[in-house]
Amino acid sequence: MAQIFYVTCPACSGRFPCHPELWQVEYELLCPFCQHTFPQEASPLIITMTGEQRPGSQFHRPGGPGTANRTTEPDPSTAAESM
Amino acid sequence: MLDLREFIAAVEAEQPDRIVHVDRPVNPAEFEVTAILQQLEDAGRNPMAVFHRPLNLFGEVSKFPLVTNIYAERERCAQALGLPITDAKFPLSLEYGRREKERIPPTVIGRDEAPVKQVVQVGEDADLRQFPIVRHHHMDPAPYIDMTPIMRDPDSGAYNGAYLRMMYKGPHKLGLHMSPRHNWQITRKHEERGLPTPVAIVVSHHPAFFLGTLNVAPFGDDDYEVIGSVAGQSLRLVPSETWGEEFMVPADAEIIIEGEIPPNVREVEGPFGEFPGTYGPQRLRWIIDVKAITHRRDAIYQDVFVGHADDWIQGGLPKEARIYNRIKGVVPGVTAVHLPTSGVCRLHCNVSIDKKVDGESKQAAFIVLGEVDMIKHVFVVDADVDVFDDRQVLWAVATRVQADQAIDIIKNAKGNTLDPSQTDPIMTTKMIVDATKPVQRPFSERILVPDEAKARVPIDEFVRAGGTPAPEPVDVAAKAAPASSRET
Repeated sequence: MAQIFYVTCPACSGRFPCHPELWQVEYELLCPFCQHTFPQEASPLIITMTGEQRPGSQFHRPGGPGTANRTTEPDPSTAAESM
Repeated sequence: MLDLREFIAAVEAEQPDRIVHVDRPVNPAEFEVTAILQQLEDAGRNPMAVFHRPLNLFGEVSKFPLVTNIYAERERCAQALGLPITDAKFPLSLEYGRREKERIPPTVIGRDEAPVKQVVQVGEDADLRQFPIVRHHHMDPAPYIDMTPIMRDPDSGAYNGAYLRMMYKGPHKLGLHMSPRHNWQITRKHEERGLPTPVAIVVSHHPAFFLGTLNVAPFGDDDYEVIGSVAGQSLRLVPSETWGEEFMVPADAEIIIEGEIPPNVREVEGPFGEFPGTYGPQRLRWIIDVKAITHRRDAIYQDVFVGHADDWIQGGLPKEARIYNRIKGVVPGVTAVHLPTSGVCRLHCNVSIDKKVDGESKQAAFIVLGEVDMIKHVFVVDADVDVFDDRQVLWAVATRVQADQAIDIIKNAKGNTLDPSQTDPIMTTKMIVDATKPVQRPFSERILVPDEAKARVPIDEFVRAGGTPAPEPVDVAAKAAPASSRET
């Protein structure tokens, strides 16, 4: 995967990769290790796509957390089926 | 009629050393199925595995046994298509390519004849927790169904099937990942009209069915016709529970889950261990609301060991003949094409040619890279090298390649976003390795032991294993002496 950012779970400290489409959006993230859901700014450590490391609270996100449903346009970079 | 249990019995009969059974209870949702598969793989084995007592998501022994790793060896893929296992190498690829071009219309049968209708569950009874759904790798957030959803184009009516990953989210809900290919197009059309997208997940069926879904037919071709052709027989269909004749489903499947993708709804999904053997990241993806489940009375649940040979071989097989046929038109001396498991059957391609003119190897490589954008590295070898044997291909690289002359780097070509080595979302760097001997000047010949000598001393007759008793010694002198000299 060309561009990902790493998020650390505030509950279990597990680290997992997220797609750029999840960067600073209203969706809560899901920890794959402990199933905790949390907004991005609650993560104690985020490693950005460029390698910058900061707590999630230091990345400004307009609108705040939520679970709003909305349409996303497909990422044109995901042009290939896994098969 | 395609029947998964008949296939399992056939493997048991013809390749008994290539199937294993697990009789003790295991918990697929706690990685116990993949833990066994991984240990087998670490020991150099890739057998088909039948788990007779897997736990379901209620934590009880499921009424559905689980079969997996079906496609992890080409011999089983050959057997699935009715070919002798001795044809598992390139003849299998060529046969797949031949069948893929044909079309066999499906046959509609009645509900009473359809095995998949033996048990019907709708509403609250259509509960996913009854299944032994597998959680594959440590960063997968939940168990995943990784089999084949079928969708139907609202305009043409053509059906399309593809392997897609589906995350367990609740008793009646799945997350769904799609890349912008055929099923995505169908979903987009429904969403634009504000309509939910019907989907029927074929969880288990004869392996020929799933090999057929891997076809590379253009969007708009009916996959049920192609699947029938690949399987070698007309696919039997029956009306679905949720949509009736408006959406037909495979009648001989083991298990089908019917559901709808609500328009304009997205939820987080993933990460998920993907085909390169690395994780695809968490994303915003579609969901499926489950409406009905139908299955055979003695249904078998199926899973693919994603990111391993079970996944890789399926993905590479349909591409090999297609590439070969394209090369053949330009480089008539092409002898074989193989996407090896060492390149996850997608990122590497080995091509062997009976080279007549220097430069033909590059022509062949260009065609490979143009035909399948996922392929990143192409290794072209002479016809005396077996493209199915990594050691031989690497031997050719070791003994026939000077890097400053034989390797070409091509930047800014279209790649695959799941390749973890890419630094750009779309573009990648391709490489051609020409590991062929030059035609225009002498080159050291490869050593060989004469075939006629091997025929004179077959190892079955001449080689005795260590620890086995030696045969009785023969009194050569007594046998050779004349009879009179032996009288006393």
